[in-house]
Amino acid sequence: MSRWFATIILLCWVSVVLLQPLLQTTPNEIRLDAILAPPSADYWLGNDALGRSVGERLLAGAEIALLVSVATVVISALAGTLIGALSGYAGGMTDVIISRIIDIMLAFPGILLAIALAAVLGPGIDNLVIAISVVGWVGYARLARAQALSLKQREHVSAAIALGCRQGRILRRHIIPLMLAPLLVEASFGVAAVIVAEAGLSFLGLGVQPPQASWGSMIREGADFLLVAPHLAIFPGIAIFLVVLSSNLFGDWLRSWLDVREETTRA
Amino acid sequence: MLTRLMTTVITLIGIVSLVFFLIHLIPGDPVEYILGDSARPADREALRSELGLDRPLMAQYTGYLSGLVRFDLGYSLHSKQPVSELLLERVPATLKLSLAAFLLAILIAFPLGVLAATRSGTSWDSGAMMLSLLGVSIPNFWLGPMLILLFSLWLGLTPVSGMEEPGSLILPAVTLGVSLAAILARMVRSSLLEVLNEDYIRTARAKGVSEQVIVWKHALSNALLPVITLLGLQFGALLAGSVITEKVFSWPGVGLLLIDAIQQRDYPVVQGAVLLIAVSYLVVNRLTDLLYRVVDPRIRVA
Repeated sequence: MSRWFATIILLCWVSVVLLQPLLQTTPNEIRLDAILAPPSADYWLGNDALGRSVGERLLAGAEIALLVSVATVVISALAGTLIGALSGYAGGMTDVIISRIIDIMLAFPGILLAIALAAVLGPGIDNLVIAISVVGWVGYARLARAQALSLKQREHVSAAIALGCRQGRILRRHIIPLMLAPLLVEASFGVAAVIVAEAGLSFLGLGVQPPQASWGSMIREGADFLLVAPHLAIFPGIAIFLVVLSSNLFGDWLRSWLDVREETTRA
Repeated sequence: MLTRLMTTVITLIGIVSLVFFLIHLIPGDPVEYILGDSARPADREALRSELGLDRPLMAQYTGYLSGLVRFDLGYSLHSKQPVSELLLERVPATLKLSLAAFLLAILIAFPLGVLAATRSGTSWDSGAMMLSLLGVSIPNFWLGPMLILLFSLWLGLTPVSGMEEPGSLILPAVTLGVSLAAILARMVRSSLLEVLNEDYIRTARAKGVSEQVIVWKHALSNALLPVITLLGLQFGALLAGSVITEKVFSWPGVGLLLIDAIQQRDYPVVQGAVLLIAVSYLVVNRLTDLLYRVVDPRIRVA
């Protein structure tokens, strides 16, 4: 049941973003006659303080959320996996230094580091992706390192070494493919975490800049009009909630399907 | 023990350096950023020397470290007050909020987790776990405004923001505590389930000990151990999460100071606030580690 719910929500999210060019939306068009208008037949989700359509801005926000979460999860998963696998496989000083860096990063509350980075880098989508990736790779690296440590003891790796395979090939062909399952589960929870982080930073005014719409900044703008126009804050929150819930459900399902022990972190 | 202390010190130095270089190595000139493009060169030079940015990087770094030892975090660019003073003023509010959220989370999570574990597989269990999933999926920057809408604006039961009026703590504490409660409930459930399958529980059952005593006395005390570690880790998440919650409710804590300082580009304050939160996080984690050893003699022996 919950798996279908999650799949449908996530599919809706992706297809809405892909179909957006066909819908010819105008999320930034100001309509002075519709300021703070409640939901109506023309604008199903109402209009914001500048009369912009909340529904169309929600769709634009969906695109930002998808863009940022895919980019961030791909970047941090790739970097984290490579660094972690290298650390666990190489051992010695490399491992000591990388582990120490991972420890320091883990000793730093993630969202705080992202806030600090976003503040220093300045607002914008690219800086948002950088800030969240700098925080995000650590989880994957820790996971990949632990996997590499146990995988390199396996017999097929010894066999590969005995056959004279080069280190890079062993890492690429014999170690990394076997650690994909837990990393995939981590990435699924990662999508949820990144969406919350993106929206949170945008809520604080550190992410997407006006007039561009992001679910987080929509909530922030809506918070000023809670009494007169509660729909401004309600709808983007529901969107975030549904997508985050679905990513978590999907991750849960993926974990039990791939039979991964509960060692990955939830958003 | 000594190596643990050493790693803590190394991590501490790492965090301090990370915060320092975060501000100093980022491309772009902070002075340009603070004053804008139209500033006069003389003003830029003045600010540059006020911030100490005209000195070599390593000199700045050692100056910063020696200042830290004396609890000297520099001066706010905005109010010219010492950063350490500004931070100290705000600490009580953040502590109050975090502790309230922490207690609330424990009060919700334990009954929920125990309920789910003792009736595992029933609809009570799946209901409790569904509740927990909802809890982790609601972002606090949305939950906060929704609670304000419902309880302050529509029902008129609680103040909208600030911390002067009675009852003002309730909504922020709920906002901050819900996700922790959700994570904690899951942890209590899985930890208790594991313990309930152990031999000594079966022995107790065979001896005719009542189910109540088994769960609350025999099982829970052992099931608590992994939960304690999680509590330590999550307290840090709570401190970081309080940044957003404080912003939502205009709660005058360290988090709100940080956000205001970011908006005013008051870098010494940003640096100080980030450092304070990060160091508290580390200290709480290490204390939990110690506590864990005290509570579980098996670890001390091993």
